[in-house]
Amino acid sequence: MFRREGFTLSKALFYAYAVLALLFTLGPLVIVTILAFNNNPSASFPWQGFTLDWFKSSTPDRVGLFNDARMMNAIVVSLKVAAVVTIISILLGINNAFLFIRHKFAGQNALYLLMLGPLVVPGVVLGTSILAFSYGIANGLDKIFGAGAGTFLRPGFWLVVFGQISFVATTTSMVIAARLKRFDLSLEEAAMDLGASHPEAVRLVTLPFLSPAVIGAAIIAFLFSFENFNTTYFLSGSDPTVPILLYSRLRFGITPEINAVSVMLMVVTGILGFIAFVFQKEDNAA
Amino acid sequence: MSPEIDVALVNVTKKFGNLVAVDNVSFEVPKGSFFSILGPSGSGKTTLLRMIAGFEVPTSGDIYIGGQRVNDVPPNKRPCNMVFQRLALFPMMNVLDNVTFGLRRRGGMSKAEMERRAKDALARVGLQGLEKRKIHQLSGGQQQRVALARSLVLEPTVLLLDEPLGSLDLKLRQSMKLELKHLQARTGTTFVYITHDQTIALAMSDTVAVINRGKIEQIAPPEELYRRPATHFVASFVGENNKLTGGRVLAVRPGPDPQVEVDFAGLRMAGRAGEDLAVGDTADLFIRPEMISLRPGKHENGLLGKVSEVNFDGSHSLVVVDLVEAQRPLSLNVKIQHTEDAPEVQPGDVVTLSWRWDAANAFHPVAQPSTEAEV
Amino acid sequence: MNASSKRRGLWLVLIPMLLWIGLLFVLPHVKLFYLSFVSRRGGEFTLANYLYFFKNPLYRRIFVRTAVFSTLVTLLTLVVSFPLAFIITKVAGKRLKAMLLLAVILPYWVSELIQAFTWMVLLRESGVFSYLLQRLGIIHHPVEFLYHDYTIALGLVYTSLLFMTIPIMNSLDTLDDSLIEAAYDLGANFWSTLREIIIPHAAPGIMVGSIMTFMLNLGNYVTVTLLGGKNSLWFTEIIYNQFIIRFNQNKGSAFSVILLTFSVVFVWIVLKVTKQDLSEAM
Repeated sequence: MFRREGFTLSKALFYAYAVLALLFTLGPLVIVTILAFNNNPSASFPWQGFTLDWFKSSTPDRVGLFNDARMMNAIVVSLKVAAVVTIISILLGINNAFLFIRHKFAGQNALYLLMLGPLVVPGVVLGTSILAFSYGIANGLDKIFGAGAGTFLRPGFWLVVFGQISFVATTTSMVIAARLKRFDLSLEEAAMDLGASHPEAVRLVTLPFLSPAVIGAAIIAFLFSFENFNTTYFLSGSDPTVPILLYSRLRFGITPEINAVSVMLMVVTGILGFIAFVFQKEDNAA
Repeated sequence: MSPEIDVALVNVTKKFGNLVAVDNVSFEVPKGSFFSILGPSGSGKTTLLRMIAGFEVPTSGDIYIGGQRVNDVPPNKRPCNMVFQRLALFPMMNVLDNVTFGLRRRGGMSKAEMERRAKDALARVGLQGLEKRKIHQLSGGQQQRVALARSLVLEPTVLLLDEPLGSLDLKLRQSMKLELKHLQARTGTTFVYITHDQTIALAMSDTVAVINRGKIEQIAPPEELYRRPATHFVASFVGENNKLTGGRVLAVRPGPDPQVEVDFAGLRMAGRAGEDLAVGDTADLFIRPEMISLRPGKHENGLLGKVSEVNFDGSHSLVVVDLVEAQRPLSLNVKIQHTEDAPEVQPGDVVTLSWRWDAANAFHPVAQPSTEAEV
Repeated sequence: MNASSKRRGLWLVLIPMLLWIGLLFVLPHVKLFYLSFVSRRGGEFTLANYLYFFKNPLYRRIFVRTAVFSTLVTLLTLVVSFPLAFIITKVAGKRLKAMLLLAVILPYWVSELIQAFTWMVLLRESGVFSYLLQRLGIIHHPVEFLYHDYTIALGLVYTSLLFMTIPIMNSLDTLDDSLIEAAYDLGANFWSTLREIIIPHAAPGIMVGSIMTFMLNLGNYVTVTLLGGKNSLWFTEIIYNQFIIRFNQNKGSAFSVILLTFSVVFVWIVLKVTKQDLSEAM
């Protein structure tokens, strides 16, 4: 009824609110984007002309993001972590989807609730618990197999990967299970009836059916991993991911380069988010 | 096992926990015949079909296809194919890829040969030129045909059909019904068709097996099923019927087809004994509305009645007649074909009803109420 | 498929699941729980880690502050989100709806850290707001808007907006417009319609959104430390300090268990009181 023609006071108030909401949510992002191209080393206004220095300069007083070795290293670390986390979480997601949709066993509901656990536990607690657990195991491994055997369980690349999988796999499992639930089992039976073995039927019919959800879940997993701070903060070692490096720098102050990094992240995650959104729509439509 | 038998079930039972879904069923399907399994939902017919296809394993008993015992053969190795209820066409593949799917699994054939056979099969079901279409671009009837072609291209010994016409609208169902029958006649493939829709089963089949609560009630050609039901359930499930309950058997004349006379509310009615009946037994009587002849006025040898309703229904009218001489309110439905010499009746008219004794069938009442016939 | 191959298939998918949830979720929390009850040296059973927390007035204050602050921010987020969700589902045309949806989702995509950073850019002493207000002549010296409680509240509302708005939208979506029209038809005004029709219908969404927002606030680290600086006094900070700076895993574990217990018990009580099912709600 509020979509009706005609101008009313309540309608005007709604539209005013909508404009405020747009300013509140998008305004900060727009301003940071503008500042990333502002030739002003204080990373603030006034506008002093357009520049790409904060992206690509290499002079000592102006190090652009692409010439910042620490930052580029962090990007590489983040990409590597996100790639491994995505692949493992997707495999686990497919596995768990089959476990909960295709099988019936005692304690299934309890196990499903347990699977949702990582979503409920604060990221900081997840990080500390994995840190405390892996610390003990790493010490044990060092004691049994000699110093260094447990290194992969000390803060660093693999521990970050493990920590992120703990909650990312929950999300991939839920997304993929939701689609598998909508799969008509007779499609698989039809494939077997036409001569396919059960593994063949899964490979040729079920997995292709799952693919929109798998792609959507993979993008979500990638974003979750790339952006994660709370859990990663406790688990990363001397090679920080992008959020961890940004955080440590932000505590010392804001530089225009960080504006540039933010813009780059906004563009990349915005595009990935949009693709995920499209796939989710397709997933829901099919 | 005779080579003329394509599918045979011997004492097959299937239990799911305590539930007996299929109870000691045996039957044989002759080669090249159209065999239907007719039953209400929950009667076990789907379980039966899934056991033949190999998706369920019998708890006991044996299943033979083409003379081979197939109990331990997985579904992908059985010489039978299935057309699924919801068709189960692969949505991620086009029509051609759907139809060649089975050939590709089988292998040992060139791509060109597979495509030739697929196109052949599609032509047989009247779907030339749609090979590259996506499944969702097809109409319901076209999808039906793709599902048929996908199975037929494999030249199975037996084609199993799980009520695939159920999802179509009435008109399309009527035409597909005929087409399916012609297709079966042309290919000579043995069809095993399960359905709850008796009009389909009666129209298409050479033989119909009626199943209820996991048990076979009768196996017979459609006409015999219709005219000479073997059980109370078959009589009430197949076709429309007047059902009179709680009568008393007055007389039995033995013979190959024993004749009985049953008393309902003081009226003597003749019928065929569907099972062993003795004088004094309680009996139910089933009389088909179209088998009752109706004469205007009062006549000898018949039941006197008064028309209470006339329902016009196109090619015929359904006339409800109250039996005026009955000791309690009793009425019969009579179906009058609109032929040239059909009697014209109006509510209030006095009429006389009669039928040949073997047009009515008498049975012992069943303890539990049997599933109501779907009209 | 026969029973034994079905059973084998079950184990095949059950084992990876159990390895994941066991090694990366259950056992770490068991260990956390265990550590919180043993002494740092010696490893014998003790309640000292918990007593240390409850005897320290600063920690108690931080705990209460975090809980109360989180609750207030949750209410504030609800107040901001509800009209937005209502506009998106019931008022906006197609274009405005898409824009508002994007506006809610985009900040979420660019991560919480960048969200907090953008507010730092706006609110710091030499930042955009301070500059603009000076240019407008409203203030005459640079003003530090960062490191205040209202800054933390602002940042938390900003990061939680999506988690509150989407569930409310989902429940408002199922509200038939004709119900609102019927209420008007029967003589109700906007406020009574809101109170008697719209809010009761949106209650499940409000519940889910509030729970998620509350838990995210409680467990927040980035936004509060960046926007609140040294004054943030947030509970997650003292966990971090014990684990990373003092390297006292036992006290840190005890603090983690306190946070976890509080958030789980709080959510459980809310769910029980409102008779909602979390697995359904999510």
